[in-house]
Amino acid sequence: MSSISIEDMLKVLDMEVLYEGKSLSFEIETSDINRPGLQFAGFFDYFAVERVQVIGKVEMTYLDSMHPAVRKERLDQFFSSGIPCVVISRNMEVPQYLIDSARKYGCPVIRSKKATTSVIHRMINYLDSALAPRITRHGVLVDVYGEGVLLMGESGIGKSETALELIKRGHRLVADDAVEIKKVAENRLIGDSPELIRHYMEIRGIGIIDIKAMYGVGAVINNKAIDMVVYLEFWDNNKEYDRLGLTEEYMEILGVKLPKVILPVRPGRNLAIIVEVAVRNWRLKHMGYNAAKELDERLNSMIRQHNSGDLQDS
Amino acid sequence: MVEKEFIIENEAGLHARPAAMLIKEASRFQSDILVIRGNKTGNAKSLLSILALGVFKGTRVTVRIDGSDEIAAMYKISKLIESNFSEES
Repeated sequence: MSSISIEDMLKVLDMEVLYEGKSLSFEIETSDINRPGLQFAGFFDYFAVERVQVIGKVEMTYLDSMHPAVRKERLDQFFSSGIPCVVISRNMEVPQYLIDSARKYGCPVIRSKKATTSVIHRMINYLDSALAPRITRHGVLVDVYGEGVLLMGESGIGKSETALELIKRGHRLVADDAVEIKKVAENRLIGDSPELIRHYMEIRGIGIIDIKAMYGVGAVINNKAIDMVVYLEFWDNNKEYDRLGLTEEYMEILGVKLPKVILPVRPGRNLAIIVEVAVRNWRLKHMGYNAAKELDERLNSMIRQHNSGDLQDS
Repeated sequence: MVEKEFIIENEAGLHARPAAMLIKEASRFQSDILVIRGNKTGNAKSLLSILALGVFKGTRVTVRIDGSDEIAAMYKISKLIESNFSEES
């Protein structure tokens, strides 16, 4: 169950409020929509009371054609059921009896200029995004060659410095330090920065810098889908690092599996270039070319040739 | 893991300077130190993520510390917050 602020919804969806309800916000848990035609006709079985109710031209015309006494009774039953809010489409004139009934039960009434189908689409989109699960992660999100790369690792490992070098090389910063991650679809995560610190970075020894002011508008982007995780860690001599690139590691965030590359950090290693290479390599793999596999196959075919040659010799 | 709740009492809340002091203190410890405000979480070793929480005077925050030196860290951080970020450390 999430609370939706009506003010925020009006801003995003370009709607106007006719009756603000009890508290300028409403509780909702689903992005589904109901058109209450059947309910106005008196059929309340399986009435989806938890959904936003969209009244279009059909419903409105039907309401107008009803006998006032019956209409009042139906609207009472409709509004008393605990529906979250009512949206009127097509900028239709809203009769006083509708507002009165809504007011009686404190149910917000909102009006849109858009046609009903368009209102429904936009409403579902907005609610999906507003109700999406969220989490804040420590890291830096950068757009590298169009892929959203989440740099993670311990404090002081050099995430911000790596990101800075990437920005200098023409890539774009999304968020430094705190990355707000939103799950917008089954396997799609969108990351952005908390409003307050958007496009700021902290570089140890210098302090806080404003990337947009320093590198221009081409060096930043407001949000970005996260495609992979690059995990920086201190070089550990006792640990085996991936030498071939045949195995793939993953990290799970909000139930979404993201490919993860672990990069050991050592002085003199230019991490920005290695991150670039990691992204290029991932893109190649994604497009069906795996360098490690190709090399392996080349080697195998040579071995096969050699072995068959041996047989002919003997 | 240790956890403690604080109400930030200093006039300007966790603005840049007190936040920097908190980060300085937190960075001395090995443990993971989180500052939680409502549904937002900030890493106490990262300045921007603490600033992003937007903590004002009277805001209730939870400090969660997890690691080998969590007790010592909590002691130091409690002292810092309870002294309203006075210059002594």
